[in-house]
Amino acid sequence: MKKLALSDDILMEIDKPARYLGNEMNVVVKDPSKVDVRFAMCFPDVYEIGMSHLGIQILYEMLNRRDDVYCERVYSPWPDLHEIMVRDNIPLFALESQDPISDFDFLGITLQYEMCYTNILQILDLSNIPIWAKDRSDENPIVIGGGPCTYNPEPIAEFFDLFYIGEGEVCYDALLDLYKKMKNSGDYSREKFLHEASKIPGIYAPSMYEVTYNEDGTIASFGPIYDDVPRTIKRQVLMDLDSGAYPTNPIVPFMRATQDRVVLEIQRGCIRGCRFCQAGMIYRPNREKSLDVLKDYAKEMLASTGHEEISLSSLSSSDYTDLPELVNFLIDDCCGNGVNISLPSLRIDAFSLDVMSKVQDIKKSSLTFAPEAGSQRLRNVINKGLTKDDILQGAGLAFEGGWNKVKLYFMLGLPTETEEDMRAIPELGNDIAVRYYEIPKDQRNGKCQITMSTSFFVPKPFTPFQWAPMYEKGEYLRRAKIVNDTMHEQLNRKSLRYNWHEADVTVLEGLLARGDRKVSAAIYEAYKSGCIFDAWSDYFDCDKWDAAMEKTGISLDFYAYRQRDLDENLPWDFIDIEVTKDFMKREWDKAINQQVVTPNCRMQCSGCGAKSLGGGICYEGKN
Amino acid sequence: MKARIKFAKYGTMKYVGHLDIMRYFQKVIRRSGIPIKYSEGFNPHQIMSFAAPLGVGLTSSGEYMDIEMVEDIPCDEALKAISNEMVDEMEVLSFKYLPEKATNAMASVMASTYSLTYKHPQEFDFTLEELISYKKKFFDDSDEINVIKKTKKGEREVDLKPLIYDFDIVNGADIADFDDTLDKRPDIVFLINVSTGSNDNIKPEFVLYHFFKSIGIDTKERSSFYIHRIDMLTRNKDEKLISLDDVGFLV
Ligand code: SF4
Repeated sequence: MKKLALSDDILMEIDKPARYLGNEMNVVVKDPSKVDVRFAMCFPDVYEIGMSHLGIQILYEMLNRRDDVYCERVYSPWPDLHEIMVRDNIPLFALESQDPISDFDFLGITLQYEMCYTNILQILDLSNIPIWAKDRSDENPIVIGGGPCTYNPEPIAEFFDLFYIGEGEVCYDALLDLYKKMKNSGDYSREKFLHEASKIPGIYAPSMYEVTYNEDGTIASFGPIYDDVPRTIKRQVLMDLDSGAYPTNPIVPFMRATQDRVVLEIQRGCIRGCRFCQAGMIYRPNREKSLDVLKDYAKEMLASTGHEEISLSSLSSSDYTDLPELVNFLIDDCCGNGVNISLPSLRIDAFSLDVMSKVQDIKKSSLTFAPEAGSQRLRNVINKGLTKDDILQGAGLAFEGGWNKVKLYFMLGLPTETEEDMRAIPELGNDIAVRYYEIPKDQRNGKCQITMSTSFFVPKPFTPFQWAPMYEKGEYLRRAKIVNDTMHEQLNRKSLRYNWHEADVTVLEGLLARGDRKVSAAIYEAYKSGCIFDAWSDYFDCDKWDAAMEKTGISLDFYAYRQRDLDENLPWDFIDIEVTKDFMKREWDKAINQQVVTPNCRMQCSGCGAKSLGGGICYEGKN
Repeated sequence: MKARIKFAKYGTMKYVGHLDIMRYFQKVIRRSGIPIKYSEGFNPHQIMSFAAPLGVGLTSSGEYMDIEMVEDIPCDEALKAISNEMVDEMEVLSFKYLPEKATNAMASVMASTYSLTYKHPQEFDFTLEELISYKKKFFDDSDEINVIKKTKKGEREVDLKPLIYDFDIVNGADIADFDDTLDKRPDIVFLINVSTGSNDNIKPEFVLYHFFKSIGIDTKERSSFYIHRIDMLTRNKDEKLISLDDVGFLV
């Protein structure tokens, strides 16, 4: 029988034991004693969520292509198992070999959202790795972070030995080679390795840098403690997407994961530049994968997984140049025999409606729009190109084609938002309903159902809104109430639905997103008082977080509610994403003062800086 | 034609539940490329049905599923195609076609045979001979075994005696085809053949619970025993119990 870290008694006691077995289809099996580097790749959330993440699958594939490396997976034990592991002193283990994480050379943790930060401490703690990087010895694994949250790694900097800034495909080989070389030469110490690693492009070793603060709490200076350590860290970008590793033989979980399908990454980056969107900035420039490669991957992956569904992954699939060809290929050559295509939210037009009618049951499916703001003025402020006409026209076409359900996504609390903007949300919903009821009764499909959802805006580093203030919880709820009340005044209120997010988590997310190194004390305190799985509303405990902030002197006034000065030293300024701060400032001005849109990259280049990377959309059709 | 697949599930796979096993087989069949029939509609699914589901934590060498084929390919070819797609600790044992009028696996299961062993032998202080003599009193020599059975509709009294078709206690070393996934053959193995199906579904640990209760020992049913399903049985036209596997034929 395959070795298991957990006893039969424990596996029978906990919920969903299949999370912890590591025996899935297509799992990579190697002999750990025959490799130089053991790498534990962690997604700090529960198995079903972590297994659905494409980035980790790419890295798993990439690292395991090396014969000298064995990359295994580890996820957060669910609270029921967490309790047992603490009680019985069971060390956290990797799924494939079931060996303790403390036996590994590296523990890589992907940081996809801020609300997983206490789960990082859970992982370290259960692995018997000292939580604070400064307390670690040469025997402990090197803890390295990657993913979108590393664009401001400072709130968690003191828990990590290294961060990888950028796309993993580029520099992991150099890092692993360095490690191997130092280990084999016998000249390894944690300190020496981190020092050398910090010279590799894209690698940030927090312990090699020092921060000083002004009296008002803002950053006075940030810089390396050695002369040979770079002052800024450049984001690593894979320019030729076709050349990157791709998991064409991905692991197929037994349990139903959130993404239970073949996922084709069709492009990285986005041409649009919405001003609230971090992904739209940190993945610049937009780069496409070629159609032929995607066609091959689709066939190969359906055959290797047996999945019954295939889906596309990108920030804005409608902008992919060869989308019609790709979608038609998937429908004609891959679907049938029990395989379906699940479409990402495409821009609603004649093409997408035609495709949707082929692959979905119109009566059950709904149309999705993400105007993000209710009024045209505010949509200009956030640079969302979608107009009311676009929406009404798309919805009209769809209604005539038999659809009757619409979902609309908005944000509340955006910069410059007024009551008028809030009221415009249900008014837009009402206008869509009006458009529906214009269709003669005998030609439409009963009543329509317009569902509006709002989340609260969280300013993120490396966006033009990185300086914007947030509001207190009560203010967010007041705004949601205005939307709700206005909805009830609408003529077609019976066809409208509205739901909004929790506000507690929003404010905390904002604090963690733009925090500095001092914030780590609050995260530690929150974890010590029992916070884990903060991203799960059943487990999120706002009181404990409030107490942790109180105790460590971390104030929301400073980190969340404050309007930052354009010239303030921001905690993430030392990272160079190759999109300039100057561009961000111009965009801030165009948003707040001029309230005008910036054309998308395909229409016109706005000189954001990413052109220096030498490829992608910046050179498309421009020789 | 309809086909019946017999499979085994052991080792770590015992922690993967029935619903996940169903999803697993859908993917396996798709990967194997064998010509299974799909239902109509927007979300076509494979025509596939399973015999009595196996609980999480149990191993088995006698699980069954029936599928419908659009084209009848030779059994050994199908068996090989499916076997190639299996994960470790899951094994397809046979692929046979079913006679036209055969009832489906689910409806035809009448009985199941199990072997049970102690999870924590140190908690049970009986020799094989002692157990056999207690069992003689509890089962062989008794006319009825009245117990309370909890069902979805409440509690009712049932007589276990006619629902237990066989009950033996043996030394593991004496069994020919024993579940080999256990580290070593245990000294004491309970072999039980009980009624299975929608009407009188009896779990083997329930039988052992009452057996041990009759000698004054309280067991925790599932957490006291490793349970292995040996096979599932149906009745032939002479009312004799035969393996579900024996209903099909090779092509
Ligand atoms: S340099 Fe121009 S084209 Fe390239 S990403 Fe920036 S704005 Fe777009």
